[in-house]
Amino acid sequence: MLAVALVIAACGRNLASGELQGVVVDPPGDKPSFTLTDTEGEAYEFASETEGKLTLLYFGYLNCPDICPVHLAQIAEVFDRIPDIARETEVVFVSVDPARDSHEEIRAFLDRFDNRFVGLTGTEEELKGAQTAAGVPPAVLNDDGPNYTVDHAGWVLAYAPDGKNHAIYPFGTRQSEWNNDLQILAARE
Amino acid sequence: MRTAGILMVALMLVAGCTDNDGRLDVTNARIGQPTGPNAALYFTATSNGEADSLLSARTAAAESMELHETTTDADGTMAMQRLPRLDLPADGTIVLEPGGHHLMLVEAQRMEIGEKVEVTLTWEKAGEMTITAEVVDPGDTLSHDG
Repeated sequence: MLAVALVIAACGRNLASGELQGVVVDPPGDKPSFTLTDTEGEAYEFASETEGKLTLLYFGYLNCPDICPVHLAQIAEVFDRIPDIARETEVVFVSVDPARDSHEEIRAFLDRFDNRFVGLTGTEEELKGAQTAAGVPPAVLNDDGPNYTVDHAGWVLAYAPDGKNHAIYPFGTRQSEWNNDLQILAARE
Repeated sequence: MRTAGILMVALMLVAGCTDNDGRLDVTNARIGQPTGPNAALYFTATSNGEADSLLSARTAAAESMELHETTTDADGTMAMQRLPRLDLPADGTIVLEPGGHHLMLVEAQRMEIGEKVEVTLTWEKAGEMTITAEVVDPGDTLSHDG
């Protein structure tokens, strides 16, 4: 019995604290259904492609140097530490700036972090529909010159394998918080 | 006469030691390796004397540089506001960090992690100041991480 307790205690360092550290969504939201185009040019229906999987969804754009790469780099670094969970997680990045972000560029961008990350984009209407379905305020492309900025939701939405959005992760989420929460969410089937 | 000469040389040496008479310190200068067309420079600036303002910056490693602030509004939408200047209070500190302020490198060149990039900052009072920033992985641009 003591041996078992010691083993559990020793493993405890890597086990989740039991409580989500992200911003909890209560009651949990439903996974949205929308279809966009992936970096291979194929149609990708979000709900069916990610069914039964821990899924992270983020809307951003490639000209954004401050928020988007940092969010994705954080997730990729945590994935290196929890490879078993990483293998079962679908990370979906949606570019809300199709005029500048081609499929090839989105693929190259995502491959910098993890070549398993899925990249999607679509027409302005499809993107607005997807963001609305996901419950985020649709991005606004500003009219401030050729290097225009895009205002967009800064948080990552997390859906557990049970298909529900249990928490969202604003910019500034630490790797330790991702590490904790991904392990908890992975178990919610 | 000789003493005056030595004093002159000493004064010139001290004046030449820093670009800005030691009034301004810039530390922890880092650029997240660009993953798209643009990159971001972050640093901490400390005034050891009077107030100053950062007006602009330039580097050979990008077409131009712009000062931006990332803002979050009530519904969580994040936006970048271009700023004409960033004020540094007297005996104060400003921290440029992800999610806050940054100097955007517009149309940045390819950079390798570990590479050192020179950037010339223009301050209202201190004038031009050249700093060296290290290129880091975007995830490592955050000052603190758990």
